[in-house]
Amino acid sequence: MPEPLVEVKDLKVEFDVRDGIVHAVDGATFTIHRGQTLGIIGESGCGKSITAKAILQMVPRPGKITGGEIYYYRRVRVNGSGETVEQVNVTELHPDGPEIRRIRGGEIGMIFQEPMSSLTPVYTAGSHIGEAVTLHQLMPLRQVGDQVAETLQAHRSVTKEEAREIAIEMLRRVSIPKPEQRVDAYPHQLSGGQRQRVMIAIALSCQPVMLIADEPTTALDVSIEAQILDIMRELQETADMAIMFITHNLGVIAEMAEEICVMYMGKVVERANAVELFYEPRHPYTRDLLKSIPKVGWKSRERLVSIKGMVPDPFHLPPGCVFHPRCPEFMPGKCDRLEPTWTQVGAHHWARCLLYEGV
Amino acid sequence: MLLDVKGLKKYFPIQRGMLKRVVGNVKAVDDVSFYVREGETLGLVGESGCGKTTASRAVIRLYEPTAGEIHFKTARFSADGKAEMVDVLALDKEQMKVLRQDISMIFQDPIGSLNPRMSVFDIVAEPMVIHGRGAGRETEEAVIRLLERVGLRPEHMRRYPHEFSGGQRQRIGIARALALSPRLVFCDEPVSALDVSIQAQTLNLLQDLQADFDLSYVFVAHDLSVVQHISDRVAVMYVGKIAEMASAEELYTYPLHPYTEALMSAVPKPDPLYKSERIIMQGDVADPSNPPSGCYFHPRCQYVKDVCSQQTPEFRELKPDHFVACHRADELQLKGV
Amino acid sequence: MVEQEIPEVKTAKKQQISQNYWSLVWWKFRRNRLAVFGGIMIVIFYLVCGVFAEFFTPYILQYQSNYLEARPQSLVFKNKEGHFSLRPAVYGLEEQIDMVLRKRSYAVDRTKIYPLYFFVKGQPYRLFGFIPANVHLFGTNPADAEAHAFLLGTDRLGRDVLSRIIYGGRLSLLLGLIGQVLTFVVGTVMGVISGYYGGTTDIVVQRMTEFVGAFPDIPLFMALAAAIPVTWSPMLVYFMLTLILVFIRWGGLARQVRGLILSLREREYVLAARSAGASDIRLMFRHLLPGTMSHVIVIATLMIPGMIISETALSWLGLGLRPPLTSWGVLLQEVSSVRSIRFAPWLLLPVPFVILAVLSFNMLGDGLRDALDPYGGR
Repeated sequence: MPEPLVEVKDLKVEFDVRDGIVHAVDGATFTIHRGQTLGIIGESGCGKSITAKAILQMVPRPGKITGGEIYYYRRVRVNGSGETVEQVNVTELHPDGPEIRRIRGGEIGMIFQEPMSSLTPVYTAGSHIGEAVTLHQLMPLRQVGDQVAETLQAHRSVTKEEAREIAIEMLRRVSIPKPEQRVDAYPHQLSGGQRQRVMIAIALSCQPVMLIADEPTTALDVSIEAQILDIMRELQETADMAIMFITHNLGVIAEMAEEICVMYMGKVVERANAVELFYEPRHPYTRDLLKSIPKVGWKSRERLVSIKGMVPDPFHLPPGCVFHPRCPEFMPGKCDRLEPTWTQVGAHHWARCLLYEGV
Repeated sequence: MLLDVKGLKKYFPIQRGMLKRVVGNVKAVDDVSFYVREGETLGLVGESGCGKTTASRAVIRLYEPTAGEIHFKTARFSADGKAEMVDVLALDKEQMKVLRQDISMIFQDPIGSLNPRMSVFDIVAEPMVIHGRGAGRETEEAVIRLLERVGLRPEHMRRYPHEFSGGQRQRIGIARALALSPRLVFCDEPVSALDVSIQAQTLNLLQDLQADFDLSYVFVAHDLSVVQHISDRVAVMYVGKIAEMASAEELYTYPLHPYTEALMSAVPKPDPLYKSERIIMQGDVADPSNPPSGCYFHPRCQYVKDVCSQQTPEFRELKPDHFVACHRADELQLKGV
Repeated sequence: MVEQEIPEVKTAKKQQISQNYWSLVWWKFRRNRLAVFGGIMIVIFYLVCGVFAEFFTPYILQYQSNYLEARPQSLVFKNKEGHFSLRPAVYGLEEQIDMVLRKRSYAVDRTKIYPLYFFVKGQPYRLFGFIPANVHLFGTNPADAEAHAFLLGTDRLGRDVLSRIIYGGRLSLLLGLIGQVLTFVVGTVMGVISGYYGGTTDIVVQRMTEFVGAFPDIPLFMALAAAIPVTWSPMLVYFMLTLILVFIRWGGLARQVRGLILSLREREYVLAARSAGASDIRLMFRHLLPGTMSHVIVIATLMIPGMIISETALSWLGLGLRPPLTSWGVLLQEVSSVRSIRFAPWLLLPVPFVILAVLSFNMLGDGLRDALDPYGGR
């Protein structure tokens, strides 16, 4: 059993907005092990992105981590030949401090949904640029090679020339054709898939122990998505890197993840190995979610199973189990009064549902 | 046969310089032929830039086609009230307006497809207003019926789009598309912007409506699994051309075009135990303003031969009701899903 | 049948009443104190100067007193006997002649105290031009022939500056408003047509706006103003000047509207209406134009100060309105030498009024801009 790399314990993130408090993440617990891929799946508003950002202390204002802990286990070389593991409490680090900056990009990398596909004004002056550099997003006014090199130099002591060489090599490894030329290109001259590959190159250039991928292929065509997923898997193998893969696409997560957490309204409702989750889902939400997607190759023209109702208003959450108004296994008197707790339902399988509690 | 499209082309000129000289064309739709039978759903699937949205808009003349023939079966122009195939491109503005009662469209963006300044009632009633049936109790009752049919309540009529969720807005768009009791509805990526669970609800709704109102659909999407689920027949498009067209089952079991095979193999399957050799297409999707020579797919095709870069393959019916545009379609044995 | 239960509408707002766009706008506007203040000031300006000027002024426009270039009389709270009183009053003026400088001036005469009364029957006038009346908001005792209250002093001909400023505001503000309304109509319609149809129509309109816009403002205005025959009546001159300002200004607005239309044209709801068979007119005026309104109203509101300042500046230069028409610019025209400024600085008092009006419009315009985007960036 590989050792743990990042441990998230009962994480709570709140957003204090004018209409009230939104519990974006409400008690998330999971562990990512070295070299392993953990998938987090959920629909919009379930809190998966915020969880990822919390791990790097990047929760956007007005959000705040209000509870729980995040531990990062860093391997430290002890003088001589030995190695120990140092436990870093990420939740206690200052969001702008030097410790977290050392981790961001240098030890844990992060890639996002294709940033320039929406042409948002993220690249305006001031703090946004600073944040972009910290997050290693692509800035539209600087050449690709420079951006890779800058990241390298921030975390490793290399000269400018060495950084450029490494940059070209990284571009080659993510299969960008003619990397010696592309290294001088501007982001808008590349296609969406190429930009995403550059982002991966930047994120991996410092050989992080973990990569957080937040919807990295959602904006890409299927054929390009396949390429990117392939590259990620290959790089993971060669570098023994852990991946935290966040998406709403069940097909992608089935391909990439070994262990999967299902999130709903800020809570993790089920966690299991990929095979067990898909073949023996326990939580009613997971079950219905799996039944509601059309699958290529299946003969169907029948109606899909759909989850009735809608995601509740975050300011008017239902009492008891937050999923109960939509649950096909709703038990009156129980599910609308009691909140389910995290229960083990298998050898390596947990669910948050009153069906499995000995109540 | 309800809709018959032959040789449809839509080119957008590329203009450079002060005098706006035309230096080339973006061949968004380049010689596309397909048909839709009454009561069936034709899926148009493809990646970005393949022209599926442009093609559907060109058929209803939101964009004027550069070339091609479009015939639609309707009774609105015949003296005796019997339906006949009408040449759509020959209609003038007035006649086109009449025809638009038979064909409508559902759009992708739940935010952008509804006018934020109009109430739900105004939005759904607008097609009726345009065609002179927009006043009085009858209209109000018709709107109420439509809203109820798509799962909304009558009191929602007075509200405004921003008060609804994405899935509900799509329903409003669907109600609007059905306002004039059309025969054919173009669904342009109607579920792409929705969450997975809402997708299922919306797809079910579309299927129910098809049965109740005897509709035919052209379902445009980039998600293969969704298209296969809802379509009777599927046309796979690549860079402005149709690579292959067949019944859904046939396409997924016995594909004839290498692109179809590769596309299906690239779609991630929601099954961790599904192991197959993935065909990874190299390179990027071709650029419609500067497509490769010969067969557009040849730079990414693993079965490429010399002829592929020299000649454009013909779109022909290789098996009954199974069309393909590939030089090597006869000889290749491709894997389905 | 649709299988799931009918979904609930998101209850994001506290009230359950449906909120259409304009009520959302109003709510957001109300929260902006500065904007509300600006709005109130503008309403006050137009009511006081524009509509009820005759009532609010102590003296009618043409009245010339014997006190030439008298300093402003300060307000005190004393009665005729000199004791404290709640009723405001002014000290009288005493004429002084300076033989050396050959100048007549006025000093404060504390022996004469003239109390002010409210709703006095003063000089007769015609309200709205036809209703005879003589009630003024405030003034001195009409029975006392000697009493006078020139709160802001008098000019060279002995006319009350305060009254002239209020009357002047009428022409200045109305010209700004009417001119802007006309500019708004012409600019919007041209912009919509140009943006919607594109092609040749667009090119023609574009060239027109560029042609006019390329001319330097002042010479163009001078040329056009000079072309107005001197024999024309003042009202006609006023009308023509308004038209000239509109002529110069509509291009800018049209260009902005055109830009907005170009971006809105491809929105999916426009396509949806087209696919249902909507006519061009319907698309332009039911879908596209309302979408531009939020921006256009802001732009139009913020153009009004420009109009006011233009008129003020041009009239001051002698190119615009001329006496007997009275606008703020005309008032400033009379202050055109250093001598006036040195010896009768109160004649510059129209300036703070101009500034206040302009600031009020700017605050209102900014508030409108924020309020007209109630979805927060949609």
